[in-house]
Amino acid sequence: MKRRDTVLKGIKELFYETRVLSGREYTIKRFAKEVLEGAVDPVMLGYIEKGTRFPNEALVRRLAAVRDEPAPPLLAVLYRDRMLHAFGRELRRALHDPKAVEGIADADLAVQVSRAVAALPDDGSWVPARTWRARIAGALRDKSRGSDVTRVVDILRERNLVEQEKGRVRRVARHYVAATPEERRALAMEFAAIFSKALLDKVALPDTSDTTFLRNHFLHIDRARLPEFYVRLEEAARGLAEEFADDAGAGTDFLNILLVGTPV
Amino acid sequence: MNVDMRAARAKLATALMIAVCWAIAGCGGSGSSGFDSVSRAIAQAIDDEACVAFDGQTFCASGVEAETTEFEGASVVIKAPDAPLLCDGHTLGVACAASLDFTTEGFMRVNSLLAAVSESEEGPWTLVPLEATDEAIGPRRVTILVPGQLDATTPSPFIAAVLVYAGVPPDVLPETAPRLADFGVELVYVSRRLELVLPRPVVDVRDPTAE
Repeated sequence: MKRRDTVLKGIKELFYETRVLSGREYTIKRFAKEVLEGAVDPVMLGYIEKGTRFPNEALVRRLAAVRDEPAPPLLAVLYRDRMLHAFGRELRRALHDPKAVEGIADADLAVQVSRAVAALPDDGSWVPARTWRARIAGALRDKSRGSDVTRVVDILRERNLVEQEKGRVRRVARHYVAATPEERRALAMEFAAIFSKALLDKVALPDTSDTTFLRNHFLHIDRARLPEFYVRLEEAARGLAEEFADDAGAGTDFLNILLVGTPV
Repeated sequence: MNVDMRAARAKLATALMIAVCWAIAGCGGSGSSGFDSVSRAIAQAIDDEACVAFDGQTFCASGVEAETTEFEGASVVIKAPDAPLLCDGHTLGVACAASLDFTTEGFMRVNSLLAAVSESEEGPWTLVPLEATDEAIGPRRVTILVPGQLDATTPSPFIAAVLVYAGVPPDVLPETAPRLADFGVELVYVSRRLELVLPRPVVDVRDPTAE
């Protein structure tokens, strides 16, 4: 199967890129009629590409056939998007947040921040600011939104995570804390997206999930030692991340490790 | 010509060495994100009377021995009174100030101290004047001046932070910063949540009917 960009994509991006990147300059109307053989109304296809409607499973299977790919991975993207949509809706209620939650798009800010931090060397050495900004732009799902790069850069500078001078930039801290309500919502959606993908990889795509690791550890622990346990868990994870961190390239994946520990 | 060749070879060797080092060292970056915050770490250090590590910094409550590599076994004891501090001992321009004393114990390496105060764990933090006895190693008695507002009508809450540097602090530091990390410090001792009060002059209200 053809290897694709690792940017977290939703089902809407898959429909959009299939139509636009086919090289035949399909309009939505022509794509719906000629490629999808009238399986979807053009207006509805427009809604799907904007992310305001979900396709049904039959349409996703048809898209997989058009892309000459197996259907299960694309269906897993659909399932994850639906889960995130439901999660976002409930999150909005929990946070008493009137802002409409789109779903996976709400995670964009947090995704871009994590890409931006990881694009700078752990040893604090300088890199050209232009190169860094280009790497952040590479993490944007909507390539036309160049202003998002500036926004991410501003956030990291305000939080003193990066330092810029004379056209170069370096990392001075590695931990980003979601502070504003928007940032907290974005990070919550990113965490949910990571967990949903990992879970679906394991339960819905067991034959192709060798790049995902999902495991649960459990123990009884003295309540007074819980803070110490979390400190050491963090140290271990951070140590591993810094030991294995590599320069982004054709042979690398952007790995996300989600740590959760909670008494139940 | 030979000199030129040697210089060219040296340049090439240097370039190759840099390239190899670059390849060996790896240029990759990593990071983390979360909902936790430095203010929560400071609050935890105060409430649990413990040392709490957060993103490369360690926040310790008064008297708790640090477990950092540089200062293992050392501690700072902040002599915070039970009652609010009186803001009348010194003057700092248009404001008043109160003294807060602390001692350092168990430091086996040369270090430097600065102090900052904030209204709460959330910051921002402002550097304040500090006077210390001369001993670079061993117990030191230190006094910081906590500024207060002369027009304050209610007790002003504050937290004092003692910034412990291995060696000397960075040359350039901001006077005020949103986070303690902005002062380039790795070990910070924080006081309990304290209050500063401005004593009001006693007004002698005479009985108007008395002669």
